[in-house]
Amino acid sequence: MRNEKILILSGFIFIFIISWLLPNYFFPSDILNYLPSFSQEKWEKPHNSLLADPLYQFEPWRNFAKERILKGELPIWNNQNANGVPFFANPQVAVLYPLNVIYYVFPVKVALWMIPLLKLYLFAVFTYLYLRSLKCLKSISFIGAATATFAAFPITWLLWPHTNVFIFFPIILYLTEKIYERKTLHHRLYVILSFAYLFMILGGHPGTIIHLTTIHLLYILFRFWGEKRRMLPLYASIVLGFLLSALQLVPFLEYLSQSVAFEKRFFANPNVFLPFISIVMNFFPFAFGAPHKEFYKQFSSTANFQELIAGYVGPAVLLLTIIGVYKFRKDKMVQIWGFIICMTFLIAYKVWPFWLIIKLPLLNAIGSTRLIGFGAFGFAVLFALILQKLIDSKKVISIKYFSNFVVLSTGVFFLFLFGEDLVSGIIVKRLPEKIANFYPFLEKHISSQFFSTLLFFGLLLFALTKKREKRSLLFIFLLIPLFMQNIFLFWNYNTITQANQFYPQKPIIQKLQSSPYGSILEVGNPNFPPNLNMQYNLIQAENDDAIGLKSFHKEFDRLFPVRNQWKKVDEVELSSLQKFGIRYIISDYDINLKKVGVQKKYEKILQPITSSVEIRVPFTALYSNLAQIRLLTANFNRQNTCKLEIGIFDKSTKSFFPKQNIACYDIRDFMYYTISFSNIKLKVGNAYEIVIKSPDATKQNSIALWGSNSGKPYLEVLYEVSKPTFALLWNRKSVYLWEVSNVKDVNMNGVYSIPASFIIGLFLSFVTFVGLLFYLIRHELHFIKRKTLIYHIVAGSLSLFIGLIVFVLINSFLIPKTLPLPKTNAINWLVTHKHSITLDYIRFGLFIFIIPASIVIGWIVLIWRRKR
Amino acid sequence: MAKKALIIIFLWLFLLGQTNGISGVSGDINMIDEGQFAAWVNHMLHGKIVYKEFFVQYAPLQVYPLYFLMKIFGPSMFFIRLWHTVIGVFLGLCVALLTLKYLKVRSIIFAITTILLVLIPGIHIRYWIGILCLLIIVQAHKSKSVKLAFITGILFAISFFESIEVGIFSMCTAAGFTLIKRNIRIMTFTFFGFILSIIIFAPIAFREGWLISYLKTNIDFITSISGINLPNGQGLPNIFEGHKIAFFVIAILQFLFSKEMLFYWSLLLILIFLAVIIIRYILKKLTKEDEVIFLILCFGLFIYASIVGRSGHYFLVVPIVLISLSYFLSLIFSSDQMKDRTGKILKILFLFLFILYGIRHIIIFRHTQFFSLTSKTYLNISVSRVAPIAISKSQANDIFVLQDFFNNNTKKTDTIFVFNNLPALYFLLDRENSTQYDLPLLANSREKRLGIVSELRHNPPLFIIEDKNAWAVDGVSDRKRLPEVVDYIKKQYFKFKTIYHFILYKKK
Repeated sequence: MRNEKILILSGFIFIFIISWLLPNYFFPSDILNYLPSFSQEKWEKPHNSLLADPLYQFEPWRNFAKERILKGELPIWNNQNANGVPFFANPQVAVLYPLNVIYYVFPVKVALWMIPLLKLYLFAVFTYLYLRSLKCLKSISFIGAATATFAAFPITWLLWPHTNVFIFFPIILYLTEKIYERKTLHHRLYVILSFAYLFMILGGHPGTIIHLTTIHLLYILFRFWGEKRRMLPLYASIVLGFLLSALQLVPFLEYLSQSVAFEKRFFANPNVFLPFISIVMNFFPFAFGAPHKEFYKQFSSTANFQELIAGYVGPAVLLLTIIGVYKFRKDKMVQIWGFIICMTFLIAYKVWPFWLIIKLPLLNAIGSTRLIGFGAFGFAVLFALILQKLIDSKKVISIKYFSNFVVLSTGVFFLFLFGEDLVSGIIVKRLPEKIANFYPFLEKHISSQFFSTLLFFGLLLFALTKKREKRSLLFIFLLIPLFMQNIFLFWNYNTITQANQFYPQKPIIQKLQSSPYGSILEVGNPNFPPNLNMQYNLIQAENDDAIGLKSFHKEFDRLFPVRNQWKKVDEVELSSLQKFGIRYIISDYDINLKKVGVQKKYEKILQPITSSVEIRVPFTALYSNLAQIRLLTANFNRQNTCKLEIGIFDKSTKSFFPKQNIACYDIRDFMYYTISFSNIKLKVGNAYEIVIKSPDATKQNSIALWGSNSGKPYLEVLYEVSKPTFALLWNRKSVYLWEVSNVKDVNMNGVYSIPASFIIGLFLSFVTFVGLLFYLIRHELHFIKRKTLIYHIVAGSLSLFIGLIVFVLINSFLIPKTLPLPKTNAINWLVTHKHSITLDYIRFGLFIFIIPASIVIGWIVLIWRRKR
Repeated sequence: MAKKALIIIFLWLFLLGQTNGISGVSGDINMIDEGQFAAWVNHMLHGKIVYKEFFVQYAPLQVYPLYFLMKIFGPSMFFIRLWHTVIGVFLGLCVALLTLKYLKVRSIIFAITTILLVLIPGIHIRYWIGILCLLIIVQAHKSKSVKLAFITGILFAISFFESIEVGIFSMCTAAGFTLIKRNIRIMTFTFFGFILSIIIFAPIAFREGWLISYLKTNIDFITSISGINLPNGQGLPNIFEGHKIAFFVIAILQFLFSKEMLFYWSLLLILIFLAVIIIRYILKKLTKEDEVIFLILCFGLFIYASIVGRSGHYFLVVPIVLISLSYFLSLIFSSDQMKDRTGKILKILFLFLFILYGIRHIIIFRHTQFFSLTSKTYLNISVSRVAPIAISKSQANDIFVLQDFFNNNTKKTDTIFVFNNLPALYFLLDRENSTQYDLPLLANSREKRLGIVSELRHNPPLFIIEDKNAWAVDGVSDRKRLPEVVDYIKKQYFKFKTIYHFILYKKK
């Protein structure tokens, strides 16, 4: 046990040191490349485009919280978005999450390494402890912990608050198991359990909190089946854990009651489930590509890659567990975990009637897809339990079985390779080019998974041929195929970027920072998403925290009704901007122009524009001065080097106006591209055509346009019809920065009051904390066998503490905050500051009365109890 | 050994001083605290009657010894420094060490406490004479000695003449103790001692012509210069005001270690100790030493009550806390129950906290100019009426220039008025004050301010001095404090000359 402690401690020290030494940032800031405003000169494909939330939300929030805390403020409000929004009340900000303290204290680079590493490490340690509490051997617990830690969910959601919460799952189970063991010092475990819940809740993802709590409650129910009395203190601990976190929860509930997102979800039928086909990803996670690999395409509209593979632990683990569950089905723990796994998967994959549970109020408001993350953890636990049972089994299988397996599996593997070659030789050629290109990647992936699974079972069988004593050592080698199926697949899922990529200072940002402080709104393309502004100390007209204030959104949507495919504002009016105090606009087109939609559907990507494909879009001139056209483009998520030629063809004169040439390199995926023209005078009512071609493009080096199912591209024509309303501050390529005139800034500094929910939460947390402290001390005192002077000191300190609390409470609530000053013509500090000296004397009197009184009374009680 | 230690302490105080950097021979003149005594002595040397012709807020024993010293040896700030900063502190320390000895504090803790007491400013015979009275009264009761009781009575009277509040506090504390002990003989002889001293003192005061004024001053102090009318003082530092809730947690943490919090820490410690004594009484474990410490703590509590309105003076109670702490620490170290491992850890922890408490005070009073003081260019020891105290060049230059100007432009009989609270100037320039307030801030009511104006009108000073850099006591500038005086100066005087940061006004 001592060695274990030293090892665990060494791990912490190692992480601490390595975090300082590791170069670069463990952070996906390269995603900023997607934004045209951040990649004017050079555009690079981000390593993993799915990691946008940490970049646009979590990090700016954390940075904001850090700044405020270091200034000595508790960041209750965000005064930089949406004219002021609750900040602390948004649990995902996780201001009080213990690991975030590292962020507040250490340099950002160090913290960005240390926090994720610590998350994984803590999760591993907690899982190890839990498995040990299930009587698994150290080696088996280690294998189980490694399996759980390197499964898909902890790795792919590492930068999300989901894992802030999730890592506490095993320790909560561990504490439950320890309580189940009926050992002494239960009171400590109950208190620790409450605190584990507190920290878990402070982690900040409500959905995961509800999932975890539900599963834990089920676990307790099964584990303590028939022992209702023993369940009650456990449930009480959980309730106290929630009460302890009231400081975070109560403001959150208040915010939630005014949330537009919650309202939408709560009154809607749950429709976010995993597509059944994605079950294959539990065996082959890259079956449909992967965002950090060369090939990736989101095939489900409701769930992305991270959600689809949340249940992945590796085919070897999965198969062994399925077999093991059948074989050891009478074991209680196997039953419990078997049930939990089944429920999580059946609900997530929308299997009737299990998914109907999601229709229950509250559960319908949270995503059910990530439940399989808990299922995956269950698989890891069952996997360890089954390995343990195999070790415990006295049965030694014959070496013959092993040699037969090796021969058979080798044959099967070669057959598989042969069959695969055959398939690729015959079928791949007939497949569409895109899928054909993907095939070698898929082939490698499936082969690897297949081979590692065979290797795993081969090693397992070999170990089982040995006697019990040697098995546990041999089982360590199982980590090789296991790692092939988890960490080797996901080791580079999260992005490491260079220091200069970490929220770089781009010209548009510098321009905004050097301009008078004012609210910014992005129009059209995403150029400066809400909350990113917090990283640069700028203010944004919108906020994106997955909660959203109802009143704000209602008014905002009313005044800015035109939205685009990103649900971003696409058109603005001066009066609306002035009403919201918006001073700056970042747009992808000239907002002084009159925008007329020729075709505004974006249902699919049209065929790529290559040397052989030319796109012609007819339109009729509504005004005479054409200044810009706006297209919705696709670049197939690659850097194309072709040239795009765009011309306007006058059908009446059969001639082109001067053409524009554009580098395909500048074209972004699913974004607008605006082409400016000068001196194009059209005749109103005449027919024209926009001709787009790319003579040097090939299928692998081309761009395309989004358009309607009928094949017509999305197109808007912009005319110059009136004098400019907005002043252009800055422009590069397709990014414009405008200043709105006559805007009254909304003063967002110092106008907030402390919400009552915060005070109530603080009070509840405090009372619960004091209650738990009392409970703990009361029980701890029983364990001090020799009631000596130390006992008196503890009792005296406690009484003093109570006295101080009483004093603070009386002073805060009973004594008036001010008293009228007596009439005087003296001029002194007291008069200048209207400081009531009478109040001072009241406080002084209270202090000298309450403190000794509480100590003496406490002591008398103590003496009386001892005598009794 | 004890004598040697006392000599070392005296020399330390005389040559190096406490951590505030003020010693008998060096350190800038405190133009307010030392200055007020200097001004009063100067008035007395010019034949004015104390209390009657100029306002003195302290008891006579704080002024008269200085007057006699300067009468004999000639006027110099040195005697004020010697009397208050060296002898006053030294005598206070002697009483403190006597207390420690009486309490049978363990030697190591005794040594640590002595060092802390010597280094931390706060101890002075003015307050500690009260504790000396308490020590002797306990001893008188213990030994049932009427002689000691009589001496205590005399000492009570002396403490009363040294400081009115100290006299009241020590007498109240002793009275309570005597009533509990119910020893009529001791009570009677103490009373006799006190009355006899008063009987001797009153005729002398009456003959000098200030007895009635003295009594009036005391009544004025208790009635009109207290409460909301307190001239200087900032009230209790309040943790419940001035902080937004958002800052609350961090503010509390900062507050816990702040200078302001030391006020509360000391009070909290005193209350804890008092509670412990009560518990020891309930447990019937009270010792004679406990009685002494109980009286000292009660006395400390009285002192506290007197500084509620001027919390900046919290350091007056620090020595009491230190001595009490050392006593309880000795008890812990002697306890049989603290010999196991946990007990040892707790002992070290308590000792550490004790030292930490002391060090926190030393940090506040740290002498930042210590190294520059050793430089020859920093010090000047040739300033008239200051020598042989070595003061900084900048202060010396100020005094030189002003002395030069007033010597050349005024006669000895001319009066001046220093608008700011710089009473030392009257002494340094050897000129009389046109008004009775050497510290104008003490003219707290409108009536008193108009009194100053009236005095200025009837006895117009040749020059009025205003210091642009004068310390705004409690952050309230003198111009804000004395609007009536400012109006008068504006109407009747004009800006005559500026010398460094001093503005001289002359009658129009």
